[in-house]
Amino acid sequence: MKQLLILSGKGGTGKTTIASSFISLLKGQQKACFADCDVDVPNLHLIFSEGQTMLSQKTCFGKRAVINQSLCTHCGLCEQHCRFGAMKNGVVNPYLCEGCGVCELVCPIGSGSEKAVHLAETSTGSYSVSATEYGIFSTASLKPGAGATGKTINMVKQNLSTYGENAEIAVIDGSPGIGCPIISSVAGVDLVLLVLEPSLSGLSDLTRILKTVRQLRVPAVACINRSDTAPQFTQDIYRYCAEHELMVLEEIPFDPLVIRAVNHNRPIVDYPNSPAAQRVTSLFSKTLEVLNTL
Amino acid sequence: MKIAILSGKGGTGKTFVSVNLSYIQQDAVYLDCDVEVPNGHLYLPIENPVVEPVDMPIPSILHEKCSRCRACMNFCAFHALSFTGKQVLLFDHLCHNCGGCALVCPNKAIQEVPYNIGSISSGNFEHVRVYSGSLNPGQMQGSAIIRRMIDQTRHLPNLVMDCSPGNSCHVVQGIVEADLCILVAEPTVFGVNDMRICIDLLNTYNKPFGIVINKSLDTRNYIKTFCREHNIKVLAEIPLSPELARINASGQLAAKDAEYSRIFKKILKNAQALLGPRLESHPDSVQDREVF
Repeated sequence: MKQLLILSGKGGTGKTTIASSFISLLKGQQKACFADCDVDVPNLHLIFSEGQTMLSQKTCFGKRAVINQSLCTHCGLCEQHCRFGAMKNGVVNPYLCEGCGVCELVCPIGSGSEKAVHLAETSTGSYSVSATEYGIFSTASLKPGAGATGKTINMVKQNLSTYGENAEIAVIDGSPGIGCPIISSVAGVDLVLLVLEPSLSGLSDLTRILKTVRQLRVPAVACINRSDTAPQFTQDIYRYCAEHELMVLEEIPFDPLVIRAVNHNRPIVDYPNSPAAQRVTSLFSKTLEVLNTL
Repeated sequence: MKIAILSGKGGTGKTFVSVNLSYIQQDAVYLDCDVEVPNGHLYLPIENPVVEPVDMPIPSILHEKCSRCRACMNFCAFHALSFTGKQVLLFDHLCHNCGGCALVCPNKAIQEVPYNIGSISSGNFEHVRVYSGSLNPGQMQGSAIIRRMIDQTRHLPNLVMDCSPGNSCHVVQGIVEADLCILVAEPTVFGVNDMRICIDLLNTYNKPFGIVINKSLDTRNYIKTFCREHNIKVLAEIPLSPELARINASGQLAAKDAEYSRIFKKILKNAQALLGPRLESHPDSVQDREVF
């Protein structure tokens, strides 16, 4: 199975719009599966909501520190050793705790899980797999602030491989940024498609996401979304891409129909008269061509 | 007033609101907490920045002292240490720098050494004090950079913290520090979905917050409906305007224009009203109401 991951660096450039269109265009062409690795704020399920459940809402877990207040002597050792600022005045902030266990290690009161501070399993979110008319769909939803992003993304991708093993192609929607979620998403994919935005910020973020993807040694191609809104920056992006041997496969013009499509939970390619849809369709076939050479 | 600017969804205009909100205040300090892809410095370019590297302690194994007991490996919650059969091996990109391995080693065979993960640039742009954190590409964890920036500015009264999208630990650090939060949302189905997730997070902290609707359209506005139904304060509505988009895309400050600066003054005024007299009469009241 060939895996295509859609990334952007900057947020809100159109990753999900492109991903949902590719998934829709693959229907009837190739056996496909797809996944949403933007586990903080997943959106793909809003478009592909209908399907037969294969694996329902299993809870995933992570370890977090808890304090047994009846044992705690407020000696302050845990707060002193915690490097994540998660301990304050004998109270754990579960959103900052990374579950390293140093607090439990240094706590002088009690032993094992009977210590005044100890790690306990807590729910960090849930994941699910469904069989849709477009193929197997693997997604997850993290509890806000729960952390465990990397672990959850690994689970989403593992489910995709297990349930979608007969598929020829996988389309994976990624998250913005360049850190932990991105690095976890990139692992094992064949090609990254970068959705770029013509602006000063977009250009700056392109330099950072490209460095990250190149360090991970995964081939990348690009497209420029809303390319006609700031033509001077579109030219700057072309120049940067040429200097860094990043192929720009297509330009997609600004099209108000995209907003309408999002608000009707439809991929833009469902509107064949839309100028954006025509370019996305062309981007789709070019991307497949690149993917097939890999 | 310490404000955290959040969004859930990416690209809704957090940086746009943050830099302009900083610019219209006389004594504001702008913190770019989106350390993975920081862009505030493009709008508020620092004159003669001071660049401070941010290092994290990572374990260095003194193999001659190591008794191969594997206590470090068994302790590491992030599986960053493994045993090759001959010696302990570190996978540095998995390390969360908790320091546990050095503490647990019975032979003092683990020393911690500094490892550079990024930097903080600070200085002034006109009257705005700017801190901009930046994570090196290829690094996993930017939390330490945000933590360092917040520690350096905690004593300052007027902060604007430009957070990252999503709801990760990065965002939580800003929320914990803030007196109030401003959620920048766009009126689409995706925008409402992501905003709701972010509101769930804010409610667990019991933080006062308001919404700025950006790229607002005359047509059906999902955010307005949602806010009305849930009794959430809309601080301002910024229209979808090609002119504003052009100004922002080119790295200019919209607030330099008298007409547009009114939008940000309105956001600030309405945000202050959210805190109301509570803050004035009890300076610590916000801190007291924090619920972990």
